[in-house]
Amino acid sequence: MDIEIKNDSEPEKGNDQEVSMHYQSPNISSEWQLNGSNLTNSSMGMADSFCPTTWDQPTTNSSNLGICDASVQIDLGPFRAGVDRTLGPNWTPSNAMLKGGMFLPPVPMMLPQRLDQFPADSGFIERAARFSCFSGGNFGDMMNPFSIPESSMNPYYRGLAPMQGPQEVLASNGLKSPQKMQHLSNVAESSKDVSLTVDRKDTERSPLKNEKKSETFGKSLDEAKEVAGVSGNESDEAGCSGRQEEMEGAGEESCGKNIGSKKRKRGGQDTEPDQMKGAPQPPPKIQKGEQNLNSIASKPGGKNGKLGSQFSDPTKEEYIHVRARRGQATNSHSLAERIRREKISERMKYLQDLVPGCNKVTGKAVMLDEIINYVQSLQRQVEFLSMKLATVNPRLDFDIDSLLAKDILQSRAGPSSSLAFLPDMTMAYPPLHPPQAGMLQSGLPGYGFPSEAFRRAINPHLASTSCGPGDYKDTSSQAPNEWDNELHNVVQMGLNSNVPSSSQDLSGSLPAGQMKAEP
Amino acid sequence: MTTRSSIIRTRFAYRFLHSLGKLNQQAKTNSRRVKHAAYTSMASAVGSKRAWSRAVLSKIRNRSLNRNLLKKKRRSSEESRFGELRKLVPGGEVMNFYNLLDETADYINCLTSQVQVMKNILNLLST
Repeated sequence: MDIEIKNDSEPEKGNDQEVSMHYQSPNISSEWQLNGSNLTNSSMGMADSFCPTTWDQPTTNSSNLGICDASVQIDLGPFRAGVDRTLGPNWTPSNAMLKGGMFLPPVPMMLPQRLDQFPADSGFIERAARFSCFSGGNFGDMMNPFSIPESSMNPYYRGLAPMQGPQEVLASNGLKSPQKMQHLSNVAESSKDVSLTVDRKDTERSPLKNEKKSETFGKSLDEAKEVAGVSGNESDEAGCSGRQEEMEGAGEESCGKNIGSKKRKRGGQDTEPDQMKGAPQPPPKIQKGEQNLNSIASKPGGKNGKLGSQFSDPTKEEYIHVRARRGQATNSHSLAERIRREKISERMKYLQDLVPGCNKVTGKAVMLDEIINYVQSLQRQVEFLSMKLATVNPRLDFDIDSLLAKDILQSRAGPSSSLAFLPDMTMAYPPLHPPQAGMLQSGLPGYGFPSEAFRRAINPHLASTSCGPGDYKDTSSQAPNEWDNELHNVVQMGLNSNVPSSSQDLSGSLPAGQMKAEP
Repeated sequence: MTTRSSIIRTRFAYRFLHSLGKLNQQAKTNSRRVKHAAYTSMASAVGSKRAWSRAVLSKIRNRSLNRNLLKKKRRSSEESRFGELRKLVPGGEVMNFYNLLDETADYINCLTSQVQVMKNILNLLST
């Protein structure tokens, strides 16, 4: 039944037949009608009461796989119908199961309360996975035409619809259950009508697939109604045209699938601007689409479904990030180039902040010049300083530890109290330092540094501000040969040098603050 | 960022002072050695996370081996702006441009702190 109408719409594609392969003629259709009768009736009513029936019937059905396969293929139509066609020969039930695996991740979040009701056997999981395929694109469209249950079933929207979706369509074809049949009643009798609804499904989905995930259900509902209100012929035509577009888009994808999918989506954005509703597109949709595409792409390779979904995760953000705007080139090379340029300009901005005097200049070349000059000047400074140090070095035989202590304190006080205080420090300290250093060398080992000195060091710091400033005041005002104050200073420095990073910030910034406050 | 740079400062000061002390024990101390010590201690303070510090460390490690080779390479490299920057940032000859900018940013950070610490040391020693 499907073959005929698909041939009507796209006579050139021979692969459509295997869509019809899964439909497998009359007896199955009768079963569908059975399912549909149960499903549609209960779906109009309460959602929860209905689900066991949905579960029971398909499981007993031997044609369950066939249904799933067919609906899966239909499902993916809007995303890349052409690829489905090209992939057609690979579409066996096992493939459908694989695909179900791909869609499994979103499912548990969506219908946890419902899954609890069911036994956790493997068959059920597989079924659930398979049904979850419909959350990708099918059920929303199926649900939306049913304007009544929509508001009440919004919480169940994602969970229920996957199961309702396919059977309901089929049921509606056979039984003409109340609401959908209002549109379909004139065509629903013959076997052709089944395929008509299939096509209509596509058409309904194509406008919906964007808003559906944007959580503006009201809008999507309206649109769904509008689309449903369109006569069957128009919907058929729309379906054909949309699919052909997608076929064209998908034709390019044979080379690189990920790139192709990116491209394709972008192409879809361009070719269907009214559906996009402007530039801001909800990210969930993108992710969904990505998942679908990735799962498709990874399927021919025979990869595991879960693997595929995981594989899609890291690439998601990139895709979102890279989206081309209107009028931008969309081939892979220019996309990659755009990414590279963005990254480089971001780096350049960071460098601009880093290099002083670089904020005013504009232009990359000038900025690079500035950066180069700055690096050169820094290197020259290092050279100069090392030269000076080489001349200074032999003059003093210094104790490394004491120097280190002081040096760290100073160098830390520099950044913490900003540049304005650095000269202050150096003004205040140098007269004090030589005697300190002298005393340190003799004094530190003698005074039992680890035990007593640490205690003394810690005390002023933890008891902090009350006693610390006093010490500083003393040292700066009085003669430097007062042991206690000296020792405080020294020990503070020693503490800074010995205790690594964690306490450095505290102890380093505190003396600076004290210094700043006191004089 | 501030904590990281302060940690690097501390490490650099520690290493540099130690190597200065070692240099001090030797007979002759020229500026080149001090500079080497400064760069080495800077690179080892940064660690092997950064490409430029890795380059510096490896250069120092097999200094005797590839001194001539490096000179040749330097001479043959381009004189565009990027080439200039590549020459300035250690290890920059083999990076792509984005990484080069990244490393340059980090290198500038480290150089500034290095210069500051060295200035402080000099102040201490000279007074």
